[in-house]
Amino acid sequence: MSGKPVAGSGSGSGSDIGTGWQTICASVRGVAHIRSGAPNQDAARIWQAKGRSLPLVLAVADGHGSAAYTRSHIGAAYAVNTAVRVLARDLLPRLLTPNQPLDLILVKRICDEWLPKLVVRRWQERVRNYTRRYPFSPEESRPPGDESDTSERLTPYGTTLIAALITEQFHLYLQLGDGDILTVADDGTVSRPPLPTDARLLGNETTSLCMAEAWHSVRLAFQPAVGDVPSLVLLATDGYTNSFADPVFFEQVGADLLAAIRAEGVASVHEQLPDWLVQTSAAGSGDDITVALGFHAFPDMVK
Amino acid sequence: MERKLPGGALSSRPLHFIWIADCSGSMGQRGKIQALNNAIREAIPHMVQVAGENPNAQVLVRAVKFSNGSQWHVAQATPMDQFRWEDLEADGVTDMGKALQLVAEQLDVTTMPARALPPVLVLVSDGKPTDDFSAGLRALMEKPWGTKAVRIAIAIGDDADKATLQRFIGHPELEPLQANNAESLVRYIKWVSTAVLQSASSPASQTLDSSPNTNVPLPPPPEAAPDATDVW
Repeated sequence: MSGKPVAGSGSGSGSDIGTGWQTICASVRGVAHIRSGAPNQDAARIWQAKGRSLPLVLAVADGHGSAAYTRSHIGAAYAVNTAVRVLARDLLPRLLTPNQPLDLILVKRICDEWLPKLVVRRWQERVRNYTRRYPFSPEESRPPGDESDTSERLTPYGTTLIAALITEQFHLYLQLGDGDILTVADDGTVSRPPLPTDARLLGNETTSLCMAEAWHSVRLAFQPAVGDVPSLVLLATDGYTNSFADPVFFEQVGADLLAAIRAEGVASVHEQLPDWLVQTSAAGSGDDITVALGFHAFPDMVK
Repeated sequence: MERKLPGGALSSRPLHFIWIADCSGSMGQRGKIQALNNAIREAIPHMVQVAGENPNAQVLVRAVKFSNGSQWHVAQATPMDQFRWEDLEADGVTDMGKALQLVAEQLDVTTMPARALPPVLVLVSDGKPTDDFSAGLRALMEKPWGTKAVRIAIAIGDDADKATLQRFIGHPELEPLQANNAESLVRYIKWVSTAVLQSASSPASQTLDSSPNTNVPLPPPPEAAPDATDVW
């Protein structure tokens, strides 16, 4: 993402609330980054099969800000692109066979065993290719004691990754590092997918795609799409939740955004979201904030 | 009227800064305790300035003193602009381990949330622990925020137990700062209060396995005061 606030809507900013799944994403540079001259190191990407139909992939990533991570904004961009590519192009065709009922147990097993390693490996391949095209400069120095092959170094690209794959049959959530996923029910009740907790994520330290054996730190949650499917899924980098005194105050964001979409329409929220995030960063964490939203509304909600 | 932002009340991230001060009887000799009081008091305006320049961190200061046992000198986590320093007095032994246990109680994730910035712990001592230092250090390091804290130690005079202070720091590349006169002590206290506080106020994210020294990059400490005579 560039330094300017970015917003995107998967259904076009002119379209408004209606049936089917729609999307909005926004990414803003944190005020602390502006003060220090650091770029926005977050990234977001959304993929939708066609129109407002499922399947849908949402992804956000937060490149690390410390001095060693000189290319983390590139790493974050590759992370969200890799997530979309792997989930949409590699995983889905393998799972959704025409005229074949979906075996959800098999799907979950494939995701558990195969997905973390594939995402990490693909991301590593892509950033190493980037290094071959754009070798590290002398300024991008190695930490003392690091004797690794320069072309193999991943640290400068360090980033988190959060992704969601939403299909008619199941919802899959993937997370490596800090950040948040919220789901909002039709009545505004906010939940979090049942991802395993990671007590290591504290303060400014996080797990990362650039770590050795990073796939061990990938957390997955798999939910069959039965019963009350969420009306809104929100992915956010940690600059958002860190701007609130209490996690409950952050969770309120999910309900408020769904209510705003219903009350004011998609185009209005799409237009205002970057400014809301800038104001939130200024009064809160000071960090970059990136959000990807997927939501569906029903005909009686049309403004 | 301006539209309400999504979500509840916004807040900058808390940054806990804790002085851990030796008040044993030996600190009363050759003006050491008064030099420490003066140095901390002089540092307050600098800390206020740094806090003001980093509005996304809410600096909260406390102080622990130890001699015969340990107790909070400033118990309430106090916003920087409200922080006042009451003079410490020297008397008794050096129960440093108990001080670390007291600090450890405040570093639980139930009292210091995950969104906080890594706390800064500054241990100042002129002697050897007279209690079970290892138990205190163990209690501190059992807390996730204890291991992630920025731990700085200042040794006052030649009798300070630098090996113990080094264990508190826990990083071989980061040594205790040796202050053998009041001018050097002022320099080190000011460094902690400004440069370290500045780094801790806006730490950039990094991976779990990447911190060679501390999880907050620290600027190099100042040299001891060049023209001052060693008196401690």
